[in-house]
Amino acid sequence: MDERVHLFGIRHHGPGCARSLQQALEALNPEAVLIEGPPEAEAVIDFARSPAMRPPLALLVYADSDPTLASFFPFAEFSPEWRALLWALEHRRPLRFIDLPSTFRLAAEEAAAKRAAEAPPESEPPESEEVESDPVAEFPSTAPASAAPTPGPRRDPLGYLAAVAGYDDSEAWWNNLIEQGAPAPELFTAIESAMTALREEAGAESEAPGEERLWEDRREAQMRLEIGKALKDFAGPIAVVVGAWHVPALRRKAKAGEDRALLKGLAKTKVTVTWVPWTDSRLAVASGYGAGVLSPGWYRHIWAELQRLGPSERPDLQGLAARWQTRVAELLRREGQVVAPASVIEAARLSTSLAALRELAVPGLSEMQDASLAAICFGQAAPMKLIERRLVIGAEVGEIAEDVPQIPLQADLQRWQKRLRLKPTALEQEVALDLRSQAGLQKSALLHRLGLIDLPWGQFLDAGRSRGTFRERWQLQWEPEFSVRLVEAMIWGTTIAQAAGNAARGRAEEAEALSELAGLVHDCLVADLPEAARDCIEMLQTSAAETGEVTPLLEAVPPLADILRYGTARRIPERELRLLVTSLTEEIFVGLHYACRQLDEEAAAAMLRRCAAFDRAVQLLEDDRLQGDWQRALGRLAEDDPAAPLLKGFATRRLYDHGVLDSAATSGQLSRALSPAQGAPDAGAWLEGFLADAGQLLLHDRALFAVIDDWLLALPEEDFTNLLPMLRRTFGGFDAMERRHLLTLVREGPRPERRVDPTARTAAPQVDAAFERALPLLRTILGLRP
Amino acid sequence: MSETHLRRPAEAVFADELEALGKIDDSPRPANWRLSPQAVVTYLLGGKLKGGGEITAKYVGNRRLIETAVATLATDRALLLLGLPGTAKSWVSEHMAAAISGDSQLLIQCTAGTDENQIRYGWNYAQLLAKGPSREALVATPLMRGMEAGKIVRLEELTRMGSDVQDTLITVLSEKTLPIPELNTAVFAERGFNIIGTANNRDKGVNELSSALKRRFNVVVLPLPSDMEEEAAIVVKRVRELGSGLELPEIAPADKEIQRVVTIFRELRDGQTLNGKMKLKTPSSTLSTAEAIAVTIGAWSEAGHFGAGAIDAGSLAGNLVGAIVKDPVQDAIVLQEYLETVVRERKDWRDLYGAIREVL
Repeated sequence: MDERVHLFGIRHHGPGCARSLQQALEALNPEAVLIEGPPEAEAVIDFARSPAMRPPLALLVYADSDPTLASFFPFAEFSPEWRALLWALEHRRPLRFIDLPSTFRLAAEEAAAKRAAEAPPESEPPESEEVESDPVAEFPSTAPASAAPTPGPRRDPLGYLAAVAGYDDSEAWWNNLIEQGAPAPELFTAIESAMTALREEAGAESEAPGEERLWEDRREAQMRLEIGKALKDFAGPIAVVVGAWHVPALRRKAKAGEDRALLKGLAKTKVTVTWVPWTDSRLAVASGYGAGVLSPGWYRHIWAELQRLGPSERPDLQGLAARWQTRVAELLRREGQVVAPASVIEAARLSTSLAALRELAVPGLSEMQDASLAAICFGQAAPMKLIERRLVIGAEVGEIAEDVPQIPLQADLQRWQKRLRLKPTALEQEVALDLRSQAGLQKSALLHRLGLIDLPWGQFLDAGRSRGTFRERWQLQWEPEFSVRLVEAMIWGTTIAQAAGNAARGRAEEAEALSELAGLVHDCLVADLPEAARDCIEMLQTSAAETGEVTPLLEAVPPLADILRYGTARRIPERELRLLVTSLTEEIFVGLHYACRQLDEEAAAAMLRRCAAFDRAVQLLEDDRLQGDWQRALGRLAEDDPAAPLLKGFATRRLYDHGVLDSAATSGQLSRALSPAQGAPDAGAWLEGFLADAGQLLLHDRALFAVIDDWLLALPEEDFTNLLPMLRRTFGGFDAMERRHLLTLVREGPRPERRVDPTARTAAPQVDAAFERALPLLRTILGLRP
Repeated sequence: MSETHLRRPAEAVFADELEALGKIDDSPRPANWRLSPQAVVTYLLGGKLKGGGEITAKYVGNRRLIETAVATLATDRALLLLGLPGTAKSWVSEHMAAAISGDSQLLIQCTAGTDENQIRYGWNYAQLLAKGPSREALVATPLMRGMEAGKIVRLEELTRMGSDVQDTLITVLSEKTLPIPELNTAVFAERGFNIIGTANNRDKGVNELSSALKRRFNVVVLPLPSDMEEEAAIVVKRVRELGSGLELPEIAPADKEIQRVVTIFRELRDGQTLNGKMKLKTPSSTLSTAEAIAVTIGAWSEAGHFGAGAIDAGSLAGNLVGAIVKDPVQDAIVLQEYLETVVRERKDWRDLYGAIREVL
């Protein structure tokens, strides 16, 4: 190979590689810089000049026909490619991306998607959400994929090398050798010879990697051709920055004709390229990003440490450890933990001593973590867990300059607007959706999804519950600032469905109240995001197990039961949902009567409302076993002495309604609860709970009526006066007809032997004078105007 | 120490291994250490020696924890081993002391009755009366002797002694001196001196470690067996040993049932199902491996004496409920929820579901 070509094999997002590369570029001063990346991106490279572009960022290439078909090429500030890019821009050197154009790969994926859609003609073409289910598919990043999790020299070269060197932790080995050490000019030569040996080993692997292998060959052919082209175009030295894995293949002599033959006849599709903001969490390998790093947070720290050093200085161990442990302490303090500065010093000392014990030159992340655990957290893992995400993964979100074209989400939204014939207008506009039609359902899903990414184009007016659940009314109004919201939502994904799903997940992770989580589950389901809903359900289950409170559970169940019963117009993960509801309700059953103790009047009333809603929810679930358990729980509540009388009354009434108590047993309960020993306020509260929305019961059940009547008559004057507001409230809750009939019944007097039909209007009977005098008061109590 | 002793200290039992390690150990040793930190780790976790020969594993478990513990001692910070009963805390501390100082016998057993004199120094009253306060009248404690000799001192069950007595250690730990105000002097610790404390973080009847003292320790928590297979193997082995020791009636092998017991214990203890798919509440009971053994022995006894001659769901249920439900209200909720959401969903656990529901 021409000696003007200088190959720099790097690890994507490796800070040590980045620093060495930077120094190597300074030394070499190449005439052109070639980077592993999609050539389409050259159109938007100049944007990187702007100081408003703050990594983590990603180049996004997507198919115009379907934005879910997209490739991302992420850059962190410590990515060698980013440094090379900046160097070239700064020194005004030509910069070329030499990887296979993304269009080929995307066209192939497009064709595959089409085939998949055509194969089972019965099934509905899956919405774009389908892609979201697979975390790897979310980042179909074609280029930086040299380090995948499976072992073997091909898929996990680092793991293989480390194992050969006798280390079981490839990350620690590589970091210690390459990323955390001093920069050395021979670094890239060393990496190259290691990779050459590895690829020979991999070539001997018998298994044929198939399709992926073919793509890799194509990419390397393209890179070789591009290097050849650059040699013709430029006279001076050329720097080529590629993943270390590819270096031996680029060094290899290959016939240009063969390379061209490999690339012949590949289908193309129209693509668009732009910059998008990226996040630390999506740089992490845990997010499913094949070339991701274990800990972006640690690499950022290393990068900052390396920046402090002169050209060939070695990292300052004590400073590196101390500054990291200070960050740990700072994050812990922000969580309200007390961390003494002395502990930070000890943690820093312990981490360097651990590194010495493990025979490492520089303490790595695991030394730091072990030291923080022992010296700062007193061996307790819980505080570390609190900050782990922010510490290890990091919370940086990139920013892009305002003039960068913001296309993908916007384009996706426009596609949907066109398809569903929903025009954005600044004028208010009301639409009614019929969820029984496919179009109605999709419109509703779109509006709900936009709601999830905080873009309230549509205001949800009502679900029209009284008319069934198949109708929705929305008020649409487009505001100019919604475009900005679309940009903000870019960190969640490139399509509305993807962004909405990820936004829901993000919000669920931060949600504190159970009811909020239950609401999110509901939102995901109505937005037709079953995958996101499933994740939210899982989180809901997790927090439900952590809470000991019954109240939030009582609030969480009814919306879920509603979905289970009526949500059939949409796809729902029914099994998970049912399991969740079962576990929530079981927990409620056990704790219910404890939750009903020691409540003041207001709290008891709120609890009554919750219990009534929950009772309806249990009925909706139509599960005999749950029903039985619920009745037992109600039985416990009704008999629980310290429980609030209002709720005991409610429980007794529900037991009566469900047929557990017959009317004789109920009147027994009633007269016991209303006996003078209970005290009038308690008895009144009990009655209120018992009679809540129960006008009909009283009208038809004369035995009950008689018990209440007797109790009222036997009340001492003072108690009766005290109780009047309570009675007024109870009876005021009945509807006007019921109250009128009750009044008639009262006039009749409690004489069951006459068996007057109380609902029939009778001619004014003979009444005594005392009753006439009491009548105005009685009317007031019953809330009837005279 | 003679062979007739019921139990010999670690440095005597493993004298050969310690010597072999010492011979080949060429890494730098901290002052007054018999071995280098690397060799101490090898001694505890076992391994092959360069020149042939093998070191047996004293502790089976997470290597990183042992490394943290040894590195702590190498930084002259005191080490506190924390953990549930039966997690080998004292065992690890004895072996560390043996490997580092060649002497595991500088030991103070802390109890509620331990006072300051047993920690710092006591007086020989005959001498004190005859000659007045002097070094000769002083009775050295293991702590004082360890400081003077530059050795590891072990404090067993640190949290069982009163908090005021615990705080005696603060000066020793932070300034490495033991003042003797009566003689207007102090004992200065030699290099190599350090303290390994052990404490139990879940038992009743222990005192809280004051935060001032806690800050002077690096804490390493020794966990319960990390995976299902390891724990089940321990239970199977111990049950077999205990059962034959107790001369219980012979029954069919119960390995499958033990799997279920360990599964239930691990799931409740960890607060999630084994597959990690579902979060669970944890009961107030410890649910240690020792208790899993006790449950199985109980079920064996029940099955052998009163049952069908094999451990089944019926004989397990009562013992399980007894082990899990220590607090009749809270733990019952936990078990009930576990029963309905997990046990009921497992097809081949139907018998256990029925049996436990019956007991509850």
